[in-house]
Amino acid sequence: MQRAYLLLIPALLLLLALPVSRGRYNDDFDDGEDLADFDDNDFAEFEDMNDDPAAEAETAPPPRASPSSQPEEDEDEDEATVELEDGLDGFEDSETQDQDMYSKYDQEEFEGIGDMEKTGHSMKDPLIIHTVSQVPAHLQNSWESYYMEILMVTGLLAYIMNYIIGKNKNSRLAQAWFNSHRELLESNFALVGDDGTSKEAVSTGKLNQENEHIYNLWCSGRLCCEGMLIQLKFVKRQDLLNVLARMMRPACDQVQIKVTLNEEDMDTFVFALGTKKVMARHQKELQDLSEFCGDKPKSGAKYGLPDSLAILSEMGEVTDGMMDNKMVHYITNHAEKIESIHFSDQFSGPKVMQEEGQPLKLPDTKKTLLFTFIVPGMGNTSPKDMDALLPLMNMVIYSIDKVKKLRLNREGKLKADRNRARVEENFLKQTHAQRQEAAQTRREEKKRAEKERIMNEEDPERQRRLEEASQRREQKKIEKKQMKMKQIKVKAM
Amino acid sequence: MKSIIHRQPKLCRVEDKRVNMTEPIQVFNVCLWCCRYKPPSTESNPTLEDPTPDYMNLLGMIFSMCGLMLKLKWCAWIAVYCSFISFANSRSSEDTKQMMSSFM
Repeated sequence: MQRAYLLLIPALLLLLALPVSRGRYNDDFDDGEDLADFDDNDFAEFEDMNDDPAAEAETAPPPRASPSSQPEEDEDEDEATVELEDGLDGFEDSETQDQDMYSKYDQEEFEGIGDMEKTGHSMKDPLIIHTVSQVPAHLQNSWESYYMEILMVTGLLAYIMNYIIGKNKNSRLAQAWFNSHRELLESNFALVGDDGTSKEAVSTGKLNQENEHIYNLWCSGRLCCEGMLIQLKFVKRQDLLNVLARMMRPACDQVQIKVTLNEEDMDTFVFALGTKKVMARHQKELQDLSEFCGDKPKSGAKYGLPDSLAILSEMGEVTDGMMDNKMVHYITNHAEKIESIHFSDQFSGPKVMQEEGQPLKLPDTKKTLLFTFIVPGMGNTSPKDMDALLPLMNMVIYSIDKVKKLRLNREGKLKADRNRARVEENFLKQTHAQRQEAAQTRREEKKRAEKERIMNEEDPERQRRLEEASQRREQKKIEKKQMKMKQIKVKAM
Repeated sequence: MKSIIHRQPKLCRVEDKRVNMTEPIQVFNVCLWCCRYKPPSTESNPTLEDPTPDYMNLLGMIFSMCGLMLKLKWCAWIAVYCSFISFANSRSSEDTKQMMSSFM
């Protein structure tokens, strides 16, 4: 709710700023009146007005209103505010005054004075504005001139309303999910809910709100696993643009579960299962799947799974081991809610693309089980739908125990080890050149540092001794290399 | 080695399942290792982060400067919208003061 209040404050400020903004933008004249071009002359905009002194009274209130609300604009050249006020004071008299003035002018001496009389133009009466319709838009006090502001503010209010509604909906969904899963999690994990800030490992018992649409829950304290991070990734209901985009392209809420295992809890294998499209994408994007599961995704129909699901596996033995009856039962009953399941002992995230070529060392890997579930409803979820995910959480717990128990046989283990050695070798080959370069630069750095040390030595005696020592070391290195070359030659022969 | 730093022991009471209802409930005090939550560092995963609030913030600032310098009303309004969108998509960890200043 704090965030909602924060949004309201700027909206209120904007509403207050409206009268201020009104005067600033003189370029927006909506009416198609025939206004004179702007001269250096301040009063040029009032040229070519019809003479109708009676209609002047209507224009008097708006100009009067504007000076009172904009005292700071007195110096603004485009505004005739100051002059208006002065003019208004002697309003009644100026009319009669003008008529007297005109009569005084000698027709022969002043050209064009007749025309001026006809048009009613007078440099001395620049303030006579004769009809309401000729008043520039920004001085009129009618709602039509504000249509842009009204439109914008309405849009902003709609955005704010959507923000509040969306935020509340996401919050309710998250809470509903947690309420339905709380018991299962508390019976399986010692620590349910942790934000990492408190000193003691105490369950907070609530979700971490990372965003208005992302909620985290960390569970730990169980045999067979280090910890489990659950992320509720809802669609952005609080962002109106996103809501409109979802009307074109539907998106769904997701629950992502990442279980990290201890080293001894999992044997060496890589296995993935999911919808065909997602499997194809993961095979390209994820480091471990691309390296260890080179074959195309196989259909799950072979194991009694629905046809929509595909399997990526390092070896057949792993698939056979994972797809026991219970697992198949879980997956078949909830196939529409499963986006992907990924078990890997070499998980390191997506492929890293670096500009300067390959990274110099292999990325860190972690034994991980990843689950991505889709909340039913395709974006139009209700809190009741969250209960449908409970069996999937049971499946997660079952998988953790299953992975702990699954051990490859001798051949499988050999094959897995060979695969890993192969991947590492390939990586080393690719980065060989870079590593050599890096080693060379390091050696040069060392030499330079040593030389600098010798140079900085003040005592000449010590300097001489250090120099001799470094020379002896270099000589030894060269001799060693020569020995090695000789040995290689002998071996080759 | 990282995990050991974040691990803390936690004492739990575990009730054993009773096969027979006549048997007494056996309760064990089990010490379990709990790993503390460590927020994933954004430097290691820049691609996983949603860039929308940052882009919108930048756009908002650009449009507001345009609106101010060139005196274009529509620029100013777009800047306001951008800052609202950036606010709606932002992470909770971000500073409230920074967000309020972006509205200004």
